[in-house]
Amino acid sequence: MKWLYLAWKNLGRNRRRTLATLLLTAVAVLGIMALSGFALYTYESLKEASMRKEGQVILSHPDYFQREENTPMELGLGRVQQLQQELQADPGIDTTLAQINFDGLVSNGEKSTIFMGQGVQPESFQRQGPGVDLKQGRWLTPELSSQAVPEVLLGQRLAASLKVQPGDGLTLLGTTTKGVLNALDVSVRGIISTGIPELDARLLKVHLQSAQELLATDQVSQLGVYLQNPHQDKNYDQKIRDQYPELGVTPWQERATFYQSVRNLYNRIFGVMGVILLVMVAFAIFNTASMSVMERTRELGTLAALGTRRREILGLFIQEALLIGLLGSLLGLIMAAGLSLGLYWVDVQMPPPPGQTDGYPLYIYWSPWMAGITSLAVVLFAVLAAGLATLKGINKPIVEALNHV
Amino acid sequence: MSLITIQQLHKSYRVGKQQQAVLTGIDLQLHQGEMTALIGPSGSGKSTLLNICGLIDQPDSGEMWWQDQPMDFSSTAKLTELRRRRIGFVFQSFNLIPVMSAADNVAYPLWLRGDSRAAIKRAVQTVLEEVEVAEFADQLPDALSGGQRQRVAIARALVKKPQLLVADEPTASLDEETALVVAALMKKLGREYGCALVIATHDDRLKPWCDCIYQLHQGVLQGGAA
Repeated sequence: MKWLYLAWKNLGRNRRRTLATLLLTAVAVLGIMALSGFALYTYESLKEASMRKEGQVILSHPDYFQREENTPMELGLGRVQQLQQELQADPGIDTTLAQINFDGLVSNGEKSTIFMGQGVQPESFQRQGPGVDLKQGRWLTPELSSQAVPEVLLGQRLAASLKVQPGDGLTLLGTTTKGVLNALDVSVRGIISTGIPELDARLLKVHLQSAQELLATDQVSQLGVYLQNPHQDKNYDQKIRDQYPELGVTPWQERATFYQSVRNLYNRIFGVMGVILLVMVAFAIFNTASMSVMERTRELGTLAALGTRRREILGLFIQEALLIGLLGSLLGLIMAAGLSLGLYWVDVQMPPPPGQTDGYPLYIYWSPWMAGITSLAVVLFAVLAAGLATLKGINKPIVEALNHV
Repeated sequence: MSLITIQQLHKSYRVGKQQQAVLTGIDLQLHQGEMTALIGPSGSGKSTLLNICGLIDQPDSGEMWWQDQPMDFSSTAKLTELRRRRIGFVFQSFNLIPVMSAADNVAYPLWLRGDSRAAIKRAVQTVLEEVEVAEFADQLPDALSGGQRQRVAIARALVKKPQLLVADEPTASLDEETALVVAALMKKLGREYGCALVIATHDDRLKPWCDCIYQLHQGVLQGGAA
């Protein structure tokens, strides 16, 4: 305690220099917290979107995600209704949503173009949240009337390409599971956007039953399982795998390639930037400690003459750096919390990422875990830098130190 | 019995490419309760001899005994422990720690020794009263005059009741009146605390206070009892 007291007193010797080092440390901590906070927000958003997109656990034919189908629904999933009933009886499962992935041609009578179709249960729009944006018209009706013309949602660029508006008619051409061409007249219910222009140029969503009618099948491509507590139930896929060993059971993480890629990329970019900021802190503290040792060389000689051990003198300088590291970290964490809160009040929009059309709001998460890690790293770098800077000073012979001018 | 006995001590420094002898064949004894002065012009080697006595420098050759124990200058840890517990220092320019109050400066050696807070407080108060600067206990060194600072430095040297007090030009930075007061104080307290007192000085005003006076000339020691 007495050394810490002396270290605290020593910080007041050159207040301007101490303040400058403290502020640099705080700004570095703010930088690390802002970068990591932005990355964490991005991870969390992408994770949420990935979990909502297809379900937290996806059931399919065992080979469905492993190889391409030769004919539509060659690797389809049968007895879907029974599966859905069984799964929905499980209290840990909120709901299940089936989906068919298919492709074909869509024609307005004058022009035909390729589409990438999804036969969906309309509840999926609520589940998927803000991932898909309705630009015109309405979402698909929850129940499909047997008399009504089947409805579709078209990607914005696909609708523009076909020059159709909600209410216009189109014809879908697809191949049945037996390889026979089939056609289905549909009406445009709405125009949607995923924010990815390439996807919007091909995307078409239709009721699951309409897709099954076009493909002449009662199978589906995949069955998404939505859990009651998706963030807590980490190993639900294993439970379902044990329950249905004959099916392919895929956790959402294995399907979330975009999420994983962004995470890997950001971890590297922000990791390197974080290390650079830490090295800057280390240099600043090394500089401060070096100057302090040089200015106090004579005093170091006095302390040594009075019987202070070398490791005690080293400890004194390390504690000074420790205090700067701790105070700088604390200040930086407070500044980061202020920034994080401020961004909730002030709407700052990020520009659209490459390949997308829409920007997104900038938020920065303030993570206690990250705050702890950052403070620890800053303190560790500060202590190492101060230790290195002091070693030379304390190894000087006492007489030489006492005669230092 | 002498506290410190030095026999045939030699010390030289490298100046450029040449080795320059500073102390040659020094024999010296320091006794507890006695004040010994090392007198000589600048560069005569008195500070070097003083530093060796205070265990902050080491000889090239020769023998030194602390009471009847031969000194091992290769053991830094042992030398540090001896300085910590048994040697007090008074420097020409006081060398007080500027961020600590007078009382904290005086308390520092006891702090190092690990004394209790109450014991430190008592000892500091006593010694500050003895050197007559108790009223400045809470002042930082910068707020004190030269004489007051040197009194605080003497208090810091004596507070642990050392066996040896080493003073390098203790009056050089003081005016005549203050120098005499400080010399008298050192003599008085040195005797009271029963420590051997060795002073390097070229201040003739100190001679009347010394029990032994040695003249250093070109690395050779001459003289003895005053």
